[in-house]
Amino acid sequence: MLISLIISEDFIYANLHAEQTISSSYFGADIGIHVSELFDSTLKRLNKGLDSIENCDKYILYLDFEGIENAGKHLFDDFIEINKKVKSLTFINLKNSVLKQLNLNDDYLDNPNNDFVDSIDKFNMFYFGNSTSSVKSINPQVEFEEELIEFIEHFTDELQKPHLHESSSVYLTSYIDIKKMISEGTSFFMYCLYQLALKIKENWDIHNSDKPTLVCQNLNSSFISSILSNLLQLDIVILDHVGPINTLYSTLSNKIEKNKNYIIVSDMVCLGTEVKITKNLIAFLGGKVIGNVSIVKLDTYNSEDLNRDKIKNISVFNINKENNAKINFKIKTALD
Amino acid sequence: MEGVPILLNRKSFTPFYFYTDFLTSVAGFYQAYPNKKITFFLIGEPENESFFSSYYFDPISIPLFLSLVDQLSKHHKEPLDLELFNTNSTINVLAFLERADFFKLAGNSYNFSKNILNFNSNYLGFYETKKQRPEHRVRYYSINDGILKNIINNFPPEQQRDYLIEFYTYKIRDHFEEILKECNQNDEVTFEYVQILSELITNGVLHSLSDVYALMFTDREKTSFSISDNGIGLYESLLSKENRKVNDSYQIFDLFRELMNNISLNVDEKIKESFFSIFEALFFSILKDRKGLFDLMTTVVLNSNGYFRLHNNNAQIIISLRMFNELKVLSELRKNIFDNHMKYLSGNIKYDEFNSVFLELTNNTKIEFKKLVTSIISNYNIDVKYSSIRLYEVRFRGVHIEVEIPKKY
Repeated sequence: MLISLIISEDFIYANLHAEQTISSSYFGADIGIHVSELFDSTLKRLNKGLDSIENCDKYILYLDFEGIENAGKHLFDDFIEINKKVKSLTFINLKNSVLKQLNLNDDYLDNPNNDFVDSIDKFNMFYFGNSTSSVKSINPQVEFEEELIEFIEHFTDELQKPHLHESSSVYLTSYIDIKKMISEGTSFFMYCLYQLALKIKENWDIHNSDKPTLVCQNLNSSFISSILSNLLQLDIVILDHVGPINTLYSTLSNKIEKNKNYIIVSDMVCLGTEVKITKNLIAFLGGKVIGNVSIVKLDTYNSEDLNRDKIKNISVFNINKENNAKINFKIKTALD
Repeated sequence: MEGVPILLNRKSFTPFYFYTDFLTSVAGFYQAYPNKKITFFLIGEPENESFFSSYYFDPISIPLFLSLVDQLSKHHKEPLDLELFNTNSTINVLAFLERADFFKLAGNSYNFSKNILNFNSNYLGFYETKKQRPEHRVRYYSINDGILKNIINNFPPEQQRDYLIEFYTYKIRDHFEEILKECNQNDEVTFEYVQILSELITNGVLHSLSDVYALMFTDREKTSFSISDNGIGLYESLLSKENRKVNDSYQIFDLFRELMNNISLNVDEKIKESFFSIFEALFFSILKDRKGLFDLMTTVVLNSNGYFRLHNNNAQIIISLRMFNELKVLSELRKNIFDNHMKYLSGNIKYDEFNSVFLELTNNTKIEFKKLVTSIISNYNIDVKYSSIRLYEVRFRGVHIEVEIPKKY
């Protein structure tokens, strides 16, 4: 399974670090997104994955090296194989030190179109083969977001009749089916989780001795947390049935450790009621909630009020005023 | 109870001591008592006289010692006895060995224990000092670990190597995390160390058909690796590839035979066999289209100013900057050989061009190898002690590699 593949009109994009993260799990390595070296196992998977793309040779292939700090020794022959299958092969975000480790010979090092940035010692664009002709540059983040919004749209059902929200006293006009995303769009969903893991790593210190524990509070979130726990090498605690159907067990007290940091994992944050319930529960038992992460979050506040939330909220996708036109998500009450 | 002491007063148990003195004593024991099982004594002095003695167990000798014990216990089909002493003077050594997981690995108390040594564990514990570093743990790797063997059996040989290198890279990052952090090197250098160790372990488990003991060690001046297997050795391992034709100028054992026939070295055939098969293995490696043993050696010696000791059954070679000139020539040749392979692989040259260049380079490399061997042997004949080779009457089964890389300030 390739998780990061984005196939556009004329190009294919793949993120090597995301793929290496997946490969490393096949080796039973306890490393997750902390992996920083590229191995041939990933390129072999990629090579195989290209076979299932129709007319693969019509596409330009962009391989994103972001996050790759070192390269194993025998990658050249895999790149040759991959290069044969596509129209042209371009590396983006390639560190100069990694290029050296690739052991390419002179036939590959002097393409005049290569875009090298001295100050960061990195290639924005590196063309595989000296005679490879120039191609447009792409922004991986923009490509990911465009793919993501289509992905969410695809799994959003507009409801005939507004439906009652289980934990907040409102009606919703559409339903974003995370369960369906997980089962039918597994590979891209995994890529979303990879992106979420990167954001978590960026926002919180997950290396020190009091690294946070992930808290999941329903079935979807337990799937998400277990993947995140693998990617980030963090522990999980399960508080089931906080939402949407709220039932409390009397045994919670021995699950939460005093003064430990917790991050609440949600699938979708609509009005934040479940997050608040979980946060209060953990705080009551002596734990410290430092944030909330989710796949989709509704920005129901205006941007100037967003920092009103006492904890940091991170999500893969925020539905806000600007992008809601496409998804058309509405919250209604009987007062409307 | 007859046996051999490990530590002697004021004699550090270094790899050098291990190969020169200790192995000879062990062999002496088996000559004197062919049917007996050896007992190891932690120290050579009687307990009551050892109070003011000083003992030192060099960390990088641990894999060597365990590898030897492993072989002997296989021979006797039961664990060997190790007599411990817990006195004022042994306490540091005991504490160090315990923190290095020596007793856990060699004893029988854990599921990963090898059960190759019997010792009285009452002697362990109650240490007051901790002079040697606790992070220097000895590890043991086996191709029979879990489902590893089943997985790699599905791959062609070169991919088996790639798979194992990646597999061990993760393991080493995990096992030697503290030491790697301590090395205080940048990410690339750390990765280089991890690669070196994982390649050596891969070579060990793949070619020796045995298990491998490994240890990484660091102090203020250097980082060392010690990898020890008790497998079939290089000669037997090459035999499995015998008659394989690399190109029209070379098939496996060509260099070996030429060295055997043309170079005079007045030692036992077995020793010659061990010695020349080291060069055959290096020659085979230098011609390949993949990075391997030879490249590893040049990385260590030429790029990092380190030294590389390779022991194969009865012979040992120490490669360091003292061979700079010969190595420089060989490494230039290696670069051309590798480039030629890559050019052919990428379709930039046709087979005929590739092949004629390859044949020429093969012949030149063979000539350089013969020069290297001749010069090493003539130095050996002049001065045995300072030679870069050591030849032993006593066979220490398997391939044992120690690598030392100085730290740059």
